[in-house]
Amino acid sequence: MAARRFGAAFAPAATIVALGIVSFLAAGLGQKDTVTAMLINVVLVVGLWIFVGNSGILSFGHIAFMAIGAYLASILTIPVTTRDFLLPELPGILSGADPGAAAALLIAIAVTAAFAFLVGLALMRMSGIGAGIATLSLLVIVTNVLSSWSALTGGGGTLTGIPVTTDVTTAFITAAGAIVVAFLFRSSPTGRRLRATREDLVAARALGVRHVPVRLAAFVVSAAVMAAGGWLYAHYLGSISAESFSFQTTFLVIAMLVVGGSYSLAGAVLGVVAVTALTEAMQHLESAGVLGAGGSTGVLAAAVILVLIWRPRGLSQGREPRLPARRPRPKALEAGVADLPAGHEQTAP
Amino acid sequence: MIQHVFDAASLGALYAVMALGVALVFGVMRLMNFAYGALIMIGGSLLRAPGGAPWPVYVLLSIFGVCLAALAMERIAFRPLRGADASTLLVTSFALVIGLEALASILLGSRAKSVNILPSLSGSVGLLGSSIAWIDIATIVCAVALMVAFSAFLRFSPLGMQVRAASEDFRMARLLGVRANRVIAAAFAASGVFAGTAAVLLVAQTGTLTPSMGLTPVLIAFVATVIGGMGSLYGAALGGAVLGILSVALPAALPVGAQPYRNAMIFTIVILILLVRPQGLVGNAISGERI
Repeated sequence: MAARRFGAAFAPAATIVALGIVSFLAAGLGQKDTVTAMLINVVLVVGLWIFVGNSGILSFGHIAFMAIGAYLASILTIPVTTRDFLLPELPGILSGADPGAAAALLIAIAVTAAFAFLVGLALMRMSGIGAGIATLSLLVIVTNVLSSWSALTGGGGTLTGIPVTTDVTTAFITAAGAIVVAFLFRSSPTGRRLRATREDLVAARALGVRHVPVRLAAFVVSAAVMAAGGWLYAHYLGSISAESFSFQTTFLVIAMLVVGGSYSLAGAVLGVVAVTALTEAMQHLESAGVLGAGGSTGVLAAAVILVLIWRPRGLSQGREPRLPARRPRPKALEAGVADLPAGHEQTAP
Repeated sequence: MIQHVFDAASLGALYAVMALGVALVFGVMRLMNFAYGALIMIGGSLLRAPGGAPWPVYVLLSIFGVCLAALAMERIAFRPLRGADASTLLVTSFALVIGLEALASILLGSRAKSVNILPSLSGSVGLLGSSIAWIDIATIVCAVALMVAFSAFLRFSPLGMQVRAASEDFRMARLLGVRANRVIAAAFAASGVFAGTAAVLLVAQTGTLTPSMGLTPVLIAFVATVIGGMGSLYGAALGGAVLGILSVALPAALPVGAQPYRNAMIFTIVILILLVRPQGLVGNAISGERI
């Protein structure tokens, strides 16, 4: 049993270690900005994976949670004097509060999760493409409200003055935390029930799984991770606007997830690393004059299509990294099944 | 008042045309084709093709060109992925949009361009004391004509019947001898005709052209398809009409303070429709999952 536990924890541990090696190597080579942006995307894609990977329902709306987390964390960390100047009409509690960076993050996560719970009560009843369109509607609603509610967000313009605190280390710690949360959720009874509904909703319900609560749980957990991603993002750029949480961002995050392989956690992370590496390489070619302006995007799009034709289930093909399996020695095979230890099934060569 | 009615009817007709193109491909392939937005963009760009030909030539060129582009898209990107996961197909269509938009901004520049293809339609006509723009009337007439022609095609031509059969149950249709490649190509070609028409009407209304002009129409078309009833072509047209009417009626009815929140309200109504009727306005209960 202990060995199996270790085996189960191997995939996330290996993913985190590999991500760490890639990140700190690239950062050491002077790619700090790219690495930070990549790690922020890891947080977002892993957050999305918690819901999409386990439930099998594609969500177009998760960037809305990122936006809420980013705005709330930003408002709470902009120094109070600057805040009075930038957002003079801010409601009383928010205008004077100065909880500090860590508490601001926790508040942003908690409020976003609560919002996701309320919205999810309605959205999680839907399935398939209806759910997809409903989450898309959620994104439109949230960005519309954020860009129009000027007392809270400064309106359609840019909210500036956010302290720049995200660096490679904070981004990596957050990404590792997101991976751990995703792994714990996947191994939890709720996660297992949810994947049962993904594989066959009717059969899972016949076995007594109530699909709405398990979906809702995944929705809330993934919204919380998205909020942390928003917090990182806002404190990386130092300024945000409602437009940064657009459909373009949604596209990028979903593409990274699917290219990596949406059924495995390691695949989600792999997708981010692969797409980031390719984008970087193309942008170098573009600035070197090999590709015309905008050519990098075109090549990236073509690469995504080719990868999907080559591996329709993503680069990871939905599998997690595993310890090399111990094969039965040829002698044992010759000896026949009876001599094998109990529970050790013979596999086809 | 009459002006509002015409605005609503024209927008509803335009949205219905957009939605039908999306619903056709969704019907046979279960693919939400985001690249439909790129088709609209291609149609708009073709209206700016060089040469001083009279405007009907440009309109035909645009519709025909989009039709070809849709066929090429199916052959190159979607056929190798036949039978893949819905999310894989979806991301492929995302990638097509991004790639084609990048191509358009390389070839045509990323700034908005003004196009005036139908100058004779820019005026308006007086009717019962309010002025109705000619373009609104033209949109309604075009949309209705296209839908009548299309519905005749679906009803009476053998290929149309195969498309309908495939929309209802693709596997069953194949078992009965419908050729998958043929019917999917037909759906894409027809979807191209709708995208081309929508592009011409859209450019004639707004007079501008940008590489990302297709994004809003395609999102509207998706929403219309889903609230109308997935897989039902008449439902998609109805969904488009409902969205168009909502977009005109809400701003007219809302107080000034709430105007900026118009989109939020429209999409809240969309979520409510989906909650009350998950199968869409037209779909029936049977369209759910069968065991």
